[in-house]
Amino acid sequence: MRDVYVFMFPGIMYFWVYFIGQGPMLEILTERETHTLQRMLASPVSLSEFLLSKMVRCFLLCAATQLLLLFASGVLFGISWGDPWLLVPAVLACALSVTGLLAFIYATARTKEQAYSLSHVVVIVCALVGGSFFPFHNMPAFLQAIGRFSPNRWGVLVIQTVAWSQPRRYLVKPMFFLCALGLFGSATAFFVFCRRLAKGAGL
Amino acid sequence: MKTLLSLVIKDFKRDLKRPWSILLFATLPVLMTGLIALVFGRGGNRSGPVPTIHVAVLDQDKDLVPRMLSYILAQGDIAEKLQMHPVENRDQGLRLLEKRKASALVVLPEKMTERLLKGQASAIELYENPAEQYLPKVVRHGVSMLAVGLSGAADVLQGPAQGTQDSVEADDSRTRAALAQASWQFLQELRHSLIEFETVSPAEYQLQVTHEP
Repeated sequence: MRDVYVFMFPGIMYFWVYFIGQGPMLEILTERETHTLQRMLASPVSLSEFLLSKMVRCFLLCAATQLLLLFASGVLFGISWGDPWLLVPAVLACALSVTGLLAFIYATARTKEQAYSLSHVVVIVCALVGGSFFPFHNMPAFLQAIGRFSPNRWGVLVIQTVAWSQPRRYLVKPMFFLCALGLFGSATAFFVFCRRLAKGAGL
Repeated sequence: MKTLLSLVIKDFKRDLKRPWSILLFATLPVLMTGLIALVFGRGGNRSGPVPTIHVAVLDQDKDLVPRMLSYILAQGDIAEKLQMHPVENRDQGLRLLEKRKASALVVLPEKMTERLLKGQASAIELYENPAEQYLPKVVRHGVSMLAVGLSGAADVLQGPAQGTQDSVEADDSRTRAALAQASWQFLQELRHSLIEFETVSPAEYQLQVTHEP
C-alpha cells in the first residue's frame, strides 16, 4: 500500500502545486491590466523588486505547500519520505522549477487570459507525459521518451529517489534539470517582464 | 533587499487573510491520492495484495491423482489463495463461471490416473472465465505446470506406481496395510519441500535500479 502512495503522491502533488504557484504570477498581469502597477512604481518600489517579490513568493509558496503536503501525507497515509536533509533540497528544486516554468509562461503571454489558458495546457500535458497520474514505466516507449523532458518526471524522480533511499547519484541529474529549468525560466521571464512592463508602464 | 522582503511579507499576509484557494489546491493531492490508493490498493490490506482464486473442478477420474492434488492444494498458504469448488457436471461448473463465482473450470478426464500410470496421454480441459482478465491466466499457468509436473512424475514413478496399483487390485489385507504405510510416507515426503526460498530484506542489499531520465 505504501508503494501505491509513493508512486502516486509526488506526481499529483507536483501537478497541483502549479495551480498554487499561478497566484503570484497572475497578480503581475492583473496589476498591469488594472493599471495599479504604475501607481506602485510611483512609490519607492522598483520594477525589478516588484517582479522578484512575486517570483520569490511563488517559490516560497510552492516549497511550503510541498513540505506541508509531504508532512500531511506522512501522517495520514503513514508514508516515510526518507532523509529530511535530502528531501528539503529536492522540494526546493521542485519549487524552483515550478517558479521558472510559470514565470516563463506568464512572461511570454500577451494577456491574463492567454497566460491562464496556456499555463493549463502546458501543465496538464507535462503531467500526462511526465507520469503524474500513472506509473511512468507503464507508458508506451515513445511517450516515455517524450516524458523524460517533462519537469513533472524530474520532480517525481527526486521525491521518489529520496523516499526509496536510493543512491544519491540518482538525484544529481533530475535535480540539475529542475534547477536549470527554474533558473533559466526565472531569468528569462525576469528580463521579458522587465522589458514589456517597462514599456507598458511608460518607464 | 529590504523593499523586496517587505513586499513578500505583505503578499503573504494577504494570503493568510484569504487562504481558501491555496488550501483547496493543497487538499486536492491528498484527496486524489487517497482515492486512487483506495481503488487500486483495494482499501488497505483487507484482502491483501493477492486475491483469492476460485476454481471449479469436475473430477471425472475419482482416483489417486485428483485425491493427491486436493490434499496438496488444501495445505498451507495455497489453501488460502486457491479456493476449489468441486462440481458434479460440466453445466454446474459453467454456471459458476457465468455467475462469476469461479475464474476457471478444470475438468480432470476419466481414467486419468490409470492412463498416466500406463504412460498414455490424457487431456485436462480448462474453461476460462471470459469476464475476468488476469485470474483465468493464472489458473491456465497453474494447470500447465500441473500437466508438466504430472507427466514428469509419471515418467519417474511409473514402475513403482504400477506395482502399487497391482497391489490394490490384488486386494489382500497384508498388501493393503503395506500400501497404506507406503502412501503415508509418500505424502509426508510431499509435505517436505526439496527446494525452499528465503526472502532477502532490502536492508541486506543495495538496489541497483536505473530510472534516470
